[in-house]
Amino acid sequence: MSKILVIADQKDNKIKKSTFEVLSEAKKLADASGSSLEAVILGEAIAQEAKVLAHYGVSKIYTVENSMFKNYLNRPFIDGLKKVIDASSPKLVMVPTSESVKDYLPGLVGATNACGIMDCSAVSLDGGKVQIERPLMAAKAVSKMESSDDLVILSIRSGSFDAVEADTSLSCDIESVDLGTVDIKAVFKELISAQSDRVSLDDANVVIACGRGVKDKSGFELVEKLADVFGAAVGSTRALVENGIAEPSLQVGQTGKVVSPDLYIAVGISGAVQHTAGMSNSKVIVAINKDEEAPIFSLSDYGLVGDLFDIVPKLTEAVKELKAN
Amino acid sequence: MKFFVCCKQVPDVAMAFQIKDGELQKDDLNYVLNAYDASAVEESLVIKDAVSELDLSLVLMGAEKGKEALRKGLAMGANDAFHIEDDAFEGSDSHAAANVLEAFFKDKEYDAILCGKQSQDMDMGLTGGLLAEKLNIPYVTNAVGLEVNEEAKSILVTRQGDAGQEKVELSFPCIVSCSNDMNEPRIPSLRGIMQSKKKPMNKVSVADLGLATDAVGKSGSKSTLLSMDFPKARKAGEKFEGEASELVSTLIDKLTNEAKVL
Amino acid sequence: MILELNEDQKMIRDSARDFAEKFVAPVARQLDVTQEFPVDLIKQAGEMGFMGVAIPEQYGGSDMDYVSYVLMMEEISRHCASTGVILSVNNSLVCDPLLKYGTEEQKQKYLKPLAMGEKIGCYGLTEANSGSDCASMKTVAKKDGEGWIVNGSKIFITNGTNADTFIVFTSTDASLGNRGITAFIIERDMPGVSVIPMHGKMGIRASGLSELVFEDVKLTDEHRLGDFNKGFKVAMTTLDAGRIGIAAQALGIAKGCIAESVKYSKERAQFGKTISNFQGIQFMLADMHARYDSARLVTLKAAFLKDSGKNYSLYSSKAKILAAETATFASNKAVQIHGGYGYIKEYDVERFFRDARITEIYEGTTEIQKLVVSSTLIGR
Repeated sequence: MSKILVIADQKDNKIKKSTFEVLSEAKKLADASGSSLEAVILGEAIAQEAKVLAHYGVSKIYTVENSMFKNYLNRPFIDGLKKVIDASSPKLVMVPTSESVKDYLPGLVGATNACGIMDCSAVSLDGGKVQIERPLMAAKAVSKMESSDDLVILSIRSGSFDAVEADTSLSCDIESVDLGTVDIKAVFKELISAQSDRVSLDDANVVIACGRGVKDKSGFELVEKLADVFGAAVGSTRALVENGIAEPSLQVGQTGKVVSPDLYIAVGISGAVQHTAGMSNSKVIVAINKDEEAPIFSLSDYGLVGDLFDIVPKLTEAVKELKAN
Repeated sequence: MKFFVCCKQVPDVAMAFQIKDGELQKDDLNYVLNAYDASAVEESLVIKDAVSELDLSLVLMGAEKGKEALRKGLAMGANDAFHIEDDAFEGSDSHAAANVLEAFFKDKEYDAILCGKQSQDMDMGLTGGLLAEKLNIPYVTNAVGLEVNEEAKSILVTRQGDAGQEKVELSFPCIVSCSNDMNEPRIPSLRGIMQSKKKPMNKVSVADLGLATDAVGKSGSKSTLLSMDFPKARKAGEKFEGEASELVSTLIDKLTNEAKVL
Repeated sequence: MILELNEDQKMIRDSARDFAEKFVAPVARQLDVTQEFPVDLIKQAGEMGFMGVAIPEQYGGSDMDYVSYVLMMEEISRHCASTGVILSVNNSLVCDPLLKYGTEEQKQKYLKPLAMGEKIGCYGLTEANSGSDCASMKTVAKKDGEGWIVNGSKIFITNGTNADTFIVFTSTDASLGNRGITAFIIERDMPGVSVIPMHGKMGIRASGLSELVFEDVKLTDEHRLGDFNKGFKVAMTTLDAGRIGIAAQALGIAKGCIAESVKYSKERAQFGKTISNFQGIQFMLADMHARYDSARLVTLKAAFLKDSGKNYSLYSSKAKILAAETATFASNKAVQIHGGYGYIKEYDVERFFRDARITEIYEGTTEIQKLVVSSTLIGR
């Protein structure tokens, strides 16, 4: 093996925790196969933040800085990353899955004539072959796939790997790559951001998610209060998004976000596979549901059988008290 | 205006399925039009209802029985369908599929190609973007809303992004991959089913597209599916019943002292 | 021998299934509680083409075959047997005889809006003291110049509360028994027609059950369906086909029982494992499914014979015997598998258990069907 390149994912010029998970696994793969590990980060002003990547054993960092990255469009990412891939010529590229990555990666795979595989949960190298595991059939099955292509680009499912401790003593070369002119046929018009001061689902250590059981907006607000005392992100099932009770960006599951926090509290969620596909990698799962037969209890570490309208306010008070001490 | 929707026929993933010796058991599966593709068809039909001049064609590559999925799209209201059917497609990955679609669209006139954001069986989500790159046209994925501006020859796509909903304007021709959050696809009425029988179903072969058989199927693919299995189930933990305040103190105790996440 | 649905039939089954899951299932439990006729749902079903499945396009129908009709009925009844019977009555007890016996004018005026789902039909044969023995009916149509005057009443009429068009059987010559019956088309808004809703049914509670009362209802000869004194034949041939629809309804109930039981047995844990691991449960599920499958094959054969223009009445009787007994058997087992939960309204099988029972009774009891079958074996 020659080289592994990790594409860092960042939000507001801060690297997301999913990047460190991928970097940690990529470093293991690189060490085991005698390959080198490089990383690339793209953004508006990421020169400073880029240095953090070195703490995970990266031997070279590419930065692509440009004001075009302010608002997300796929073309600048495809062009910028193609330049870096041409310069770095890795055998394997790994990137944490996100909505932006799901958007630009197909184009990048096409532009570099690579083999692309999305949403991998395990990666191994076998000589010139890359072998992966990934969920499919609505996450009801997992598959093993392989590719012996010259360039393989993988997106990595959140929570698949543990991030190692950063070694802040490490540093490496940083090369700035010029994006150049981008032939853009798409115009960014506006961002309707989900107005929230809460931590985002992607980065949250604690997620409080709710489903149909909360019934309406006032039930949803109970869950928001609990999230606030935890400093947690709020998640929801598709049903609540469809009812207009929760923002679409809060949807966790097969068609929403895949999250893997340290603690996931499922409030009034029955546990259909469409939802659990997005949260079953969480470290500790708590379920609160009045139906003792709810499938969510089959994967929760701690299940509370009872009325969420009684339990959630009491839990909010208890956590508030705990945090105060 | 001329739109195409790329369709795929997939096993109904809502139904139980069996995996034996690493392989999906295909005999008992019920095959359906990919739900994300159905949303792409529905969205096109909504536009068609508003802009009567829209001509909507469907295209599907796959086995003979794939025409059932096309007929569903026709029964929903599409004008005609192209069925790229060839035995050589067995084992195709997204790359091989994009090769075939590129060859199909090379000499076609169109304003937009809509597709589902991924297929329900593979959940890969590569084909639309790959095809756009091959055709050298702009694309957007995970669309949850579309507004067509016929005069400006552009389409305003609302996509669900990481930070919220992003509105992006694409000029024709372009590719939009659609989320199922976009709409509720209509259920074909019996009248629609009856009429769909009379709509053109054009057969296309790999040879018609000028493709060599080794550009498609397994040899045209860059990845191989080795095996399938059921995921390891997470083990059920403890379940507590009782009075709310007791449950809460038990939970706090467990989270603090056992799981150590508080 | 080909035992596979064709492409159209599969598409219709899928559409009916999607419709049932999306629109019928969410309201089914509520309909059972309120006993209210599902007006909006039936309107939607009409737009889907479910109110006149096997009626030609020129008369507003969907121009499909009876096999398709069976598939539609099964998918709808899997979630709601009330909705199933409403559709069944409109399709096979009202549209069918209008198509078979109606004049061109009657088809244009009555059949078309019924098949399109713009209007709803009901079938008035049963009376308080006249069930299987229809020669004893007391509703009388008296010749009045060129026209007729109808007096009497009909009970247990499905769709009655909301029907616009009634097919009503009357005695036109009591001395001739079955040969003195004539069928008429009666419109709801005619003077002298009144509809009295009947409540308190055990199952299929949202089917709009009513008593129809006729007081000096004046009809012209244009309201007569079929020939004078030939109403018995109209009634019997209509019921022959109707039984296929009821068999399909029963199959739907059985299918629902099996689906809910499989689901529940995989969720419910006792003695440290889900009850699906116990042979006692497995045997019940196997019995339910084996009976369902065999009843379904006979029902599809009855529909196939009808579609082929062959005599199907023997098969429609056998289908109804088997499917109805399967529905009650499966619903009984489904409640047993659910244990205490099967006995409360929070679980659908409680409703299925009550809904299933009627299928052995209406449109000819199981015993009447057995007479039909045995008479062909031993001759009459």
